[in-house]
Amino acid sequence: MAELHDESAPTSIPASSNWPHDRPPTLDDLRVKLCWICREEERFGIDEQPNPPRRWVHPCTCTLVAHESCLLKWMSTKSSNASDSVKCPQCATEYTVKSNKTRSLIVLRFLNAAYSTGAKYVIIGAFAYGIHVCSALYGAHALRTFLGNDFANMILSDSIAEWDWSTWANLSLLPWAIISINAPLAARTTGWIPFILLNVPTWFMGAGSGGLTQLSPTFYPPSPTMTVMMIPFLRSVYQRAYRSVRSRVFGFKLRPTGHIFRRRYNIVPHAQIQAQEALRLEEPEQVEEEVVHVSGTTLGRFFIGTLLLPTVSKVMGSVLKFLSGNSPLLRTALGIKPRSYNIMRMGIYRTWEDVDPVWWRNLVGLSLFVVGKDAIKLWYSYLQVREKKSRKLISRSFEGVDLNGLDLIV
Amino acid sequence: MSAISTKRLQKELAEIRKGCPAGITLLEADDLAVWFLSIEVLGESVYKGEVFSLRFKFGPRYPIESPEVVFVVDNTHQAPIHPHVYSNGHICASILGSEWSPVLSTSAVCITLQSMLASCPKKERPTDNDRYVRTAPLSPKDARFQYHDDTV
Repeated sequence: MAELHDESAPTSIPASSNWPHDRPPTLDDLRVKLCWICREEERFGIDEQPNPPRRWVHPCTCTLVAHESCLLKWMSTKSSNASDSVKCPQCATEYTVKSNKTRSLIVLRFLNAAYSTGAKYVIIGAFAYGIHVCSALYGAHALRTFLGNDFANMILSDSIAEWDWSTWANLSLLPWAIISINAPLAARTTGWIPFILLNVPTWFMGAGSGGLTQLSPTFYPPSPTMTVMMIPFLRSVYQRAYRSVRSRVFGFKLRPTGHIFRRRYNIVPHAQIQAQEALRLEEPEQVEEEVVHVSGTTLGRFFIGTLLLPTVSKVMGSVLKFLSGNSPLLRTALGIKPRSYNIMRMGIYRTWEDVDPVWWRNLVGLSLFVVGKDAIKLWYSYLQVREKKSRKLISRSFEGVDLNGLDLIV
Repeated sequence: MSAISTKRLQKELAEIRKGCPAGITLLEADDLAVWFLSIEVLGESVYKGEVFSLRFKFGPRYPIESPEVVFVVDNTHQAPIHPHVYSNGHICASILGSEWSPVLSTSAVCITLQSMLASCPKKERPTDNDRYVRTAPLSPKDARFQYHDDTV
């Protein structure tokens, strides 16, 4: 065991000691060894060596000695990390620990730690990837629904296996673009978000398909790219107009329109929202801070309403196409090509100009739908307010009341 | 009680029975795991003439782990009024917590507490005494003390 002693220890021996040798004394030279942890002692030549013998250590610069097992046990309670140093409680000398750290142990320990931290990110990543895939699939559906199958086939493969990474990336932006357009906050401070979310994918796809969606403002109806790019602008202009109409109908501004006020979102039960909406219709609201109350129901209504917009536009577009059967004017306005043209083409298109412009009539249809929906909403609110203002209580005569209790003018 | 703690406690008990430091008396150690010792500050101090009683509880991991040490508070005993001693008898001393090491012992703890009392210039409860006593765990070992000053 002597080979485990630190060979670099100073070899000077105090002159006053009665130690006769010219080497410093070691543990083996102690007559009595007293473990400072368990207080067991081993006296040289008197006590029998325990079987198996217990290793003693003197790891510091004071007189304390201890069983190695006792000391290791105490050290393990002082620090969970093996690399943390433990000091002698009496002389504060740091213990030096030597252990067989093989290279494979070091590698495995590192891998284990990396795996623990990595797993967290993998789970977050998997969740994000799931959202990404769902978004892209929805994006493809929205694209196909809004732009029409013929044009969608030109820029997007039917088989998702053929989509490259940029297609995935661009498609997965689409639902968020639609949500940002429809979100109430989009109209004011953050109008550029939907613009970017919508136009980045549109441009990329246009570029990727050989200038299929090039801008040609002289041509009517507008190209798919133009049409899509118009949406955020239309939305913004329309909301401004809608608010001014609404304030005219009610005689006051329903919500402050300036940019100064802050907006706060509160999550509350749905019943409370309905009650507050009713109140809001009666009193002008002049507050610095607008509080938007959000409940599960309003959120659900918002998301379903938003994500159904492409489908709504398709339905409205189909209605318009049906109506245009009897109106050449409407056919021209919507850019609908003669039936014979489509039959002649037999589904072979070279540029977007060859394709039946489904997107254009869908946008017109969607606009009509939004305007109609808001008109109905406004009318409904108006009727509610009018009904409330017209409320009167019916007064009765004193029939059946004891007349002696009344001071009557006779 | 594990073998290591039993052996060590027996040794310590034998040493204490042989002779206690001045001002410290073993009251009771019928159960090897729970000892009572009386402690008194000798000489001039704000606690002159007062005798306190300490209860030591040793866990099976003693001396690797610190013992639970409190001043006995009952009908006949009071905890000393000291900035580090709560009125429920709990003691805020680092040597009983993070600074414990097996080199300490029952008598060493007693001597340390004795000198802690002896050096106290003024009888005062800890500033957060009421709040601590209201929410204190049964054992002070479960409390999280912040050892702020070592002057008293």
